[in-house]
Amino acid sequence: MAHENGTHKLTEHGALNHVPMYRSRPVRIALYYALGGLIWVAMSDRVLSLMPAHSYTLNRLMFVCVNALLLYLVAARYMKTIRISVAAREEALVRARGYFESSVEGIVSADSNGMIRQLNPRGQDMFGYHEMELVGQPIEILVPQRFHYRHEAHRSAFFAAPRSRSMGRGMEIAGRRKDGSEFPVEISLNVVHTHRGKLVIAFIADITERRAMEREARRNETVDALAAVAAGIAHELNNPLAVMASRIELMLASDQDLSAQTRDDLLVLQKNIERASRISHNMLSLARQRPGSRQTVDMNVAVEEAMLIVGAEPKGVMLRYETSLDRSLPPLMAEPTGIEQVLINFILNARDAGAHLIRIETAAAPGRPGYLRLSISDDGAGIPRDVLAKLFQPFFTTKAKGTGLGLWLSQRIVQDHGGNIAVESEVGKGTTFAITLPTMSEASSERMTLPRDDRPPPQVASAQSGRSGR
Amino acid sequence: MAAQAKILIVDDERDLVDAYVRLLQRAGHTCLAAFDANEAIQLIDAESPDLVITDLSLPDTSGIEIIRHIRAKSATTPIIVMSGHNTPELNNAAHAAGANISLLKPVSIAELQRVIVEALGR
Repeated sequence: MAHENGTHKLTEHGALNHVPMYRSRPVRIALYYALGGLIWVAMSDRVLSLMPAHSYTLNRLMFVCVNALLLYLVAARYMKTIRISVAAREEALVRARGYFESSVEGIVSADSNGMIRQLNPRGQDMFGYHEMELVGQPIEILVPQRFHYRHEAHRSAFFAAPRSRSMGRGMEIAGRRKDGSEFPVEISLNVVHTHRGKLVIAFIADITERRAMEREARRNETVDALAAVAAGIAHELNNPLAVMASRIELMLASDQDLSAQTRDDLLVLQKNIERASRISHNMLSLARQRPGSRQTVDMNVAVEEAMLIVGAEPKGVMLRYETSLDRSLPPLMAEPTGIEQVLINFILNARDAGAHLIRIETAAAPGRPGYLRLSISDDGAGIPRDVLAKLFQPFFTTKAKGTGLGLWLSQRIVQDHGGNIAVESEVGKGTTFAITLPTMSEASSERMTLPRDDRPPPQVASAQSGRSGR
Repeated sequence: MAAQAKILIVDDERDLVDAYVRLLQRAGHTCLAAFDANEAIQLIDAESPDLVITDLSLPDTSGIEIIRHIRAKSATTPIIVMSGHNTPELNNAAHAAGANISLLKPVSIAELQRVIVEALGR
């Protein structure tokens, strides 16, 4: 068993460090008793001679008895010390094994030739090797090929002047798995001296997640900065847009006779100014500060209201809505305008995809107590696989008149409410967006106590590529 | 139905004020125009308009000052904020000062008419 093997080796090193501590005491005790014995030997004849010489044999017997007792005491004391030290040693070993095996960091040790001596279970998970495959292999097997040359040089330098330090400070360092893939790591190095030479112990942390979070934070910063710029531009545009809109209205409302062509042209201008102001308003909502106040929102009512708002707009094609609303759903604690915006965005998207039938469904989220699921399905054009991956990116759009902000904003709003969006699409068949949101049901308190791992990752949306393109 | 009213429009965008004045006059209102807060406050004191439509960013001071000035005189004069900015902070500040309605530019004249009727009807 690899672990057993490993711990044995560790015990060896671990024990070595403790030798002076538990061996010195029995030696000291033995010395005391030996000294006592010597004094007794030196003195015994004189002591005995002082006693009335009833029997020389009796005296001799007494001498032997006293010496035997002395020896017994020494031996018993020594055995006790040994027992204690063995127990202490075993405890130290168990402790060390515990540290080694339960560490959340990977631990790998290597000798001065750079040969791997041990790898703990976490390290085995991290690198995808079994310990047996690695023991005796050069440590470079865990380092990406392109760093080998440099790593060997660093290793020699480190052994020449070993001291505990973190590795590759200020550099991005990577580990290499058995399958050749790489992952970012943070490593701290320590040296222990054993009777078989120096041993380097490296503590390795897989920082993939931290890197991802840092990237996400940087991306969010960029997006926020962009949003601020966009909002600034939108603010500046609103005044001239208002001037143009009002002048066109003035002309259209004037008593002067306008030719049919001019009237037509003005109407086109008016329509495009409306479009420009819609884009501008969209950009403004990007820079929306913290979400507004939350109140109870009945998702079914929100759906009906959104359909009223959207349904009012004329559309050339035949379009049918179908709803299946679960009236028993508990309400949400949500920002009403945000939820409305999300619903309108998805309905408009379905319409823009050329749908003839839009199906809106509310229901309890399957398998997720305390959540509801709202799905908006259409029989429109469907979304190609490559587009699906970028669907929720800001400023990404396939529509001639789109701002590329609708879905991104929707996702942000849904995430703000503790929900997520999943999408399934097939080219030529249609698309389904499924929004999962926490409700105010009693189950929601239960939800709070679920371990984090039970929650689906927030990126479900872009990760589920659905059936498209297969 | 208070369709005819004396309305003060405050905005530093002269082209916009001009158009709104003409459109509102067409609807039968009497219109006053001011291009900065100072001018607006003088007109408010001199003319006591029935309704005020104001921008928030003005060359001399914020439209909030105008709202405060009106509210110091009259608790009931309807105040409509019409601005190119709609951050929650600005909106909250305007409403805290006493504005009744806030609109985000551009506002169509039909929408403005509806809001004016609603505000006067209160």
